Amino acid sequence: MGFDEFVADRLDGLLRYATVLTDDPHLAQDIVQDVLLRAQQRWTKIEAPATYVRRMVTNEYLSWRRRAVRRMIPSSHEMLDALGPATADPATAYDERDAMLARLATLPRKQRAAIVLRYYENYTDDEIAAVLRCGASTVRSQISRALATLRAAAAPRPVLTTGAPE
Amino acid sequence: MTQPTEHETETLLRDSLDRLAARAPDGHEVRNALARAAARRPRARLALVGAVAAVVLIAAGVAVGTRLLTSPEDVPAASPGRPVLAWSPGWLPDGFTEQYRESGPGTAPQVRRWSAGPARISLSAYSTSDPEWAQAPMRIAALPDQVVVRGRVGMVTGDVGTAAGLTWMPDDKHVLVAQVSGVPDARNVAERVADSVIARAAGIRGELHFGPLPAGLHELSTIVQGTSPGDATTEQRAADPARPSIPALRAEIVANPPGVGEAVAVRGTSGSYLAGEGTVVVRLPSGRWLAVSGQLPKDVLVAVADGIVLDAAPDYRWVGSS
Repeated sequence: MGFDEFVADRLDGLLRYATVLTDDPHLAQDIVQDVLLRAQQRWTKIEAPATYVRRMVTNEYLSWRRRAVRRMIPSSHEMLDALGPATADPATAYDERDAMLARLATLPRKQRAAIVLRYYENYTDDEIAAVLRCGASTVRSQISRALATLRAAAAPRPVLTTGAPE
Repeated sequence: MTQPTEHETETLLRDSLDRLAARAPDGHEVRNALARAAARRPRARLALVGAVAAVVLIAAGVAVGTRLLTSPEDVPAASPGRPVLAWSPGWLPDGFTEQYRESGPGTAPQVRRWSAGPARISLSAYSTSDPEWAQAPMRIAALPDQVVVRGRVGMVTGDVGTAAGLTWMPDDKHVLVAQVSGVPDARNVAERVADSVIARAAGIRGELHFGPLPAGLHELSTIVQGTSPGDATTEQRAADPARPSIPALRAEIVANPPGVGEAVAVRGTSGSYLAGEGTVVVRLPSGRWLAVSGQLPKDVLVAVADGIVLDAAPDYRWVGSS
């Protein structure tokens, strides 16, 4: 598969993966763009492009120190996105997912990457281990610890309906 | 209240990740950047043909880069002292120091941020003239989790104990957002911060300002940040008005160079071009370093760096103060 064909076929999926990984669409775009620009220069030497590029995106996220501290997380957009239509049940669902995303943001990067690969990409332990360059047992441990954190932090709270008197 | 089951957690997790994926950018910018890079590659090979050819090529590149720049009359003049935020909190928890201010022309968001270790509190202001915030009153009214801030209805989002956001409108033209993270009982802290906010402007005066910008780009924001006046830095960003939230060009002054690359002439002296990062860097007479970066041709980056207006008297006194 040529580079242009790869981009046409995989770019949207890569951007979605990077967005889920970083929790920041702008940072995701920066990372995917950087990785593809580097891959473009040595495309003919890359044996398994899909695996290579996804691993590069993950590595960039795990090691993104310099640009991460320079970037202001755009909470305003997330806040707007968190708002649903003015109906009770969908708003409640939005709150729960928003809260889950906030808890995910507190995880160490490697745990978050393992969670994303498992629950967004549906990778197996071995596949995750290959991307993160660690053993399958380490992957299981990372995911177990992450899930424990996410469950422990999930404290349901009552939702007040707009304008309803207490 | 009981903990959710593992199955419930996993289901919510998948739903949340799917929702996050829906926020992914559309790929337009990346495709453009890849196309530009592909177009540049043959020219780089031509540069190897010989010294004479290389000189001709560079001269042509400079000419193209110059044409890509708008005239100085088309860009805002340097305006040190531009108010960064018309509001200031009258109360913050102990230990927080201000470490970030961001401002921009027009309806650009204006942000101030205080930190205490990993804990952060930010106060952001948006204009209802910005289409993205024009519907804020209806959105606030629609959200179930409402609070009252100085007699006006606000909304709480993302309340997870140690993080919370509070959005309200101090008047009919502006939306304020107080965001708290890494702080116990964040919701109450956000409410107390919001209640203390008053109309008191804070200024921003950094070390640089864009001169002429490449065609199609406009000044987006100026950022000053640091933990103390001694380590403060200035960064200015420009963007395509069609995608204002994505900086296409950055200029910053930093204490240390981001790297060393191909030698280029910048601001009348010898600078460096880092192809991998798309950055032109040059040492200034002050000993600090100017870095201009973006997915743009080298010659355009050099032209932008040449046009940067330096301010010898930046105001960093507020950096690191409470």
